[in-house]
Amino acid sequence: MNLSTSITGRRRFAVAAGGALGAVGRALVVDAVGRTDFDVLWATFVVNIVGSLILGYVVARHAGRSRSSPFLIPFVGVGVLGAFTTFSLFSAEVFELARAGDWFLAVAYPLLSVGAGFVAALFGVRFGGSK
Amino acid sequence: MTWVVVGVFGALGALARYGVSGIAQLLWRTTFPVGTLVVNLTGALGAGILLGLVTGRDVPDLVVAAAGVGFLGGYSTFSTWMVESVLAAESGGRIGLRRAAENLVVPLVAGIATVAIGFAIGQWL
Repeated sequence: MNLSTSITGRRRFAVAAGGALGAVGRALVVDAVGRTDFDVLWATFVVNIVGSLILGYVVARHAGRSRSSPFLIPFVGVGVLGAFTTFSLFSAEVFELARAGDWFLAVAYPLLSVGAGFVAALFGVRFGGSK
Repeated sequence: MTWVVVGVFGALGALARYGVSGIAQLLWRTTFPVGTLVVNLTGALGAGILLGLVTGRDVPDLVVAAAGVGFLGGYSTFSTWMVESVLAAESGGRIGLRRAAENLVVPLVAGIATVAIGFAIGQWL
């Protein structure tokens, strides 16, 4: 048995398992917030900002430790948080706002998402990096 | 049922992202996080095509849940994009800040444009 392929396989399994949890988690938040287009918009916003904050924390925390698990980043980072947050649905929402002629939100929503996402990730990295 | 479908397709999306971003990063060999960009833009193209397909047509909710909420949602990622931008900014000095700004603006604009292209394809299909 080849040990390195076994670790690669286990990493892939961690990504897939985390991805399932992240995608269902996102769908649960969208479901809890509501069903109108506007509700879905803000659910995506909250999911993306919270996910960025936690990922920043996890990445910075992991970088400072030599003995943390090799499956932590594949499971929590790539899997759960990667799938919980979404770029494609976010971009599609912006396009739909523009198509509906809602130019204020079509400009404000992406700017607010990227601004808040960056600040949230920065907070996470700083918080996770402090000893 | 919907939850199971979202979970299974979310898992497949995350796996595909893991593979595609790894290959893209290997092919380009740059400090720019090109793996995440390739994944997010192909994901945006897919979302645009799906949107174009379902607009004005009767498509079952389960298909949208599987392809959109599950696969494309799990495939593309917002959090990695943000954290990579922060790490670029923290890499130091003016160059770091410029890299961060590029990594925020280019995918944002390209992503929306890519959805528009995908939408046109989806409507035409």
